Amino acid sequence: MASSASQASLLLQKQLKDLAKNPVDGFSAGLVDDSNIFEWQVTIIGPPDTLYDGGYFNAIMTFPQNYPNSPPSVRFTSEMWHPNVYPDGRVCISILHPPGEDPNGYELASERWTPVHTVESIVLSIISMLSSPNDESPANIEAAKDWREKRDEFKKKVRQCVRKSQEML
Amino acid sequence: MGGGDADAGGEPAAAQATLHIRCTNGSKFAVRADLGATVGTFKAIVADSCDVPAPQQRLIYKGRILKDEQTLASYGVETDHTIHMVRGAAPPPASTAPAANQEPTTAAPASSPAAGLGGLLQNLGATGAAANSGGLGLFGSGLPELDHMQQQLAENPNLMREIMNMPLMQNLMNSPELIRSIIMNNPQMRELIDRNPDLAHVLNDPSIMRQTFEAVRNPELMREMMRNTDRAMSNIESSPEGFNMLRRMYETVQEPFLNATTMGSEGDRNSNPFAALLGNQGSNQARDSAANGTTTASDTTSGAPAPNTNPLPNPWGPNAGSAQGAARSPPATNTRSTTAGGPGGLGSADFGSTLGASGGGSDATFLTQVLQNPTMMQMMQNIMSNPQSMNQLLNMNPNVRNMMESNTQMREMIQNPEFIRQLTSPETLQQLISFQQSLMSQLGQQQTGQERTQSASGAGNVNLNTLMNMFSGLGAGGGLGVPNAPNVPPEELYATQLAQLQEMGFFDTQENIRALAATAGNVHAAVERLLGNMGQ
Repeated sequence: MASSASQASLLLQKQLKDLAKNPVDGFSAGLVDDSNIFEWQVTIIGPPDTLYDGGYFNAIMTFPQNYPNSPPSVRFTSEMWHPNVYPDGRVCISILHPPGEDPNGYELASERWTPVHTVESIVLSIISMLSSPNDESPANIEAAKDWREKRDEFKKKVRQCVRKSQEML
Repeated sequence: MGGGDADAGGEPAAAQATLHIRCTNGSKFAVRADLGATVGTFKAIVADSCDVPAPQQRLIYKGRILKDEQTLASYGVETDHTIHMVRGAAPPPASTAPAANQEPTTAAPASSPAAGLGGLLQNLGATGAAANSGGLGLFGSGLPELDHMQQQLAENPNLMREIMNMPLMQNLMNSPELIRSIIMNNPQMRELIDRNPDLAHVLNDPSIMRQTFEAVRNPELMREMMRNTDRAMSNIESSPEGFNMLRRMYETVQEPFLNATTMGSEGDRNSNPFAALLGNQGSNQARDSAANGTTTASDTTSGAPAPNTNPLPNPWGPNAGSAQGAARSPPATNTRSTTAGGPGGLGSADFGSTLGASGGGSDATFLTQVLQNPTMMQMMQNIMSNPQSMNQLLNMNPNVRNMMESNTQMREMIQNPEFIRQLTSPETLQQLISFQQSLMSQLGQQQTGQERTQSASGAGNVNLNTLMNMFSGLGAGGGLGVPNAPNVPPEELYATQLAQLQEMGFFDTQENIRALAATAGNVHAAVERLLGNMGQ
């Protein structure tokens, strides 16, 4: 266990330095508290040409002690209206699910978490999720219904989230 | 980290740190700033290096959005670190509701076709086409304010032509289903059709509809049709049984149509037909007296009043109250049926010749129209299936009676049911009429007759070209007098047999006439003779 935690800490330290030196467009990541390497704060910039354009959404990434063998959990702290984001802000995408077969049968094992993922790939997947919602197995049923049947309602609520995120700057 | 602190302690003065700014559009630049400065001040420095004003700058570092009140050092910013900058947009103005209102645009096209179709059907009624009287009544009764527009349309042929040439009207005319559904919406019209199945056939025939629409589009054609109808009415009134036939046709066909076109609540319209009938009856009684004074039908025919040179007045137009106009605008069905039932007034050989001769050139148009009318077929069937009425018709003319007594084959042919059925088929009658017209023209002009024969034999259905050709032949037809029985040429004498031979496929008129003359009118012998000639 101590060896595993040490490995995770070293890996996260390395990834943090890489992101600071070579930032990636679309998001900015850092530690919530310098004393805790396992909790990151990420600011995702709304992808252009999507409903979330112009928004700044904050999220907390919590890494497990056995990272990278287990996936981290991502939770939006900004208000978010999306079919694949739970009402409490937790993100539900396939790469963040534990390895193995899906108990519900919605996704393939190859789509789930693998140790090769990095903080960058995780955040990029979340940005991709914002562009292309998946309403087949929604985390937020109301948002999925709006996305499927009442697109105008969905757009209106997303615009509210974008405006609110701008006001919190 | 410890080493860093030692270096910081060693240098009392704060050094300028180099920070990298990365914009969302991909541009990247370096800025030198004091780490102890506030974020607001730092934004002003950044504004100098790019075109984004300080209030619109959004700086993001390590997942945090930098606040203007905090210092750069409090966020842990160090030299050679990169800060994301995003341009914040101004709040968008509230979008206004769409100003376009689709409701008025939708209403305008709805009224145009209704008005145009109402005027169209009204004029069709004016031409005496029974099939369209119901449709006219539908629009006339449903839209009272449409009367004024109908009058305008009736008085302006050019306006009617423009309306008919609109693409919308073309589409309406090309869909018989739509027209039929419009006509069927009238309860009285539906009841009338239930009582007379033959009328339903007329209303459901697209070709009759299309021909009538073609007539409405062409003012000259419409005027000619009206003149022909008026002439036929005069001829019918001058024959001994013409008036009774007219009254019978009026009671069975014309009156129900008029009732179907006017609602019961409109009393003024209901009274018009009866007033017209009374006026017509008085006028015809006078004519009957004049007819009784003469001894021969020929004199009566020559003494008939000259037909009107002007088009008939429109019953539903400004002259709606005119009894004369209403009396002289019955449908073509009545005109032709009465003519077919009254051969005694005009001397001729057999029944087929009677039908053709009584029509004459002036009735070419209506003859072709009547041939496609099932109601007329039914009436002819009733007349010919009744031996008593058949004998009465034949005995009315002394010449016909003498011919029947002298020629037993002729009597057998006429009384043969199979022969009668063949004679009354629409194809045979149509070819007979066309052939009769060709022969009549041929008497005056040999060349014209030849051309007409070729065109007539090839025509499967009557179309506008055939109608035009027959109009051009009106002058020649009018010049013909009533031929005398002993001097009847072979073409008229064997008109029925010639039609049969043409139907069988023998299109050489001269050969057919020669064969029939040699065999004294026996069709079977003529066929054998023609086939024998071909064998040689």
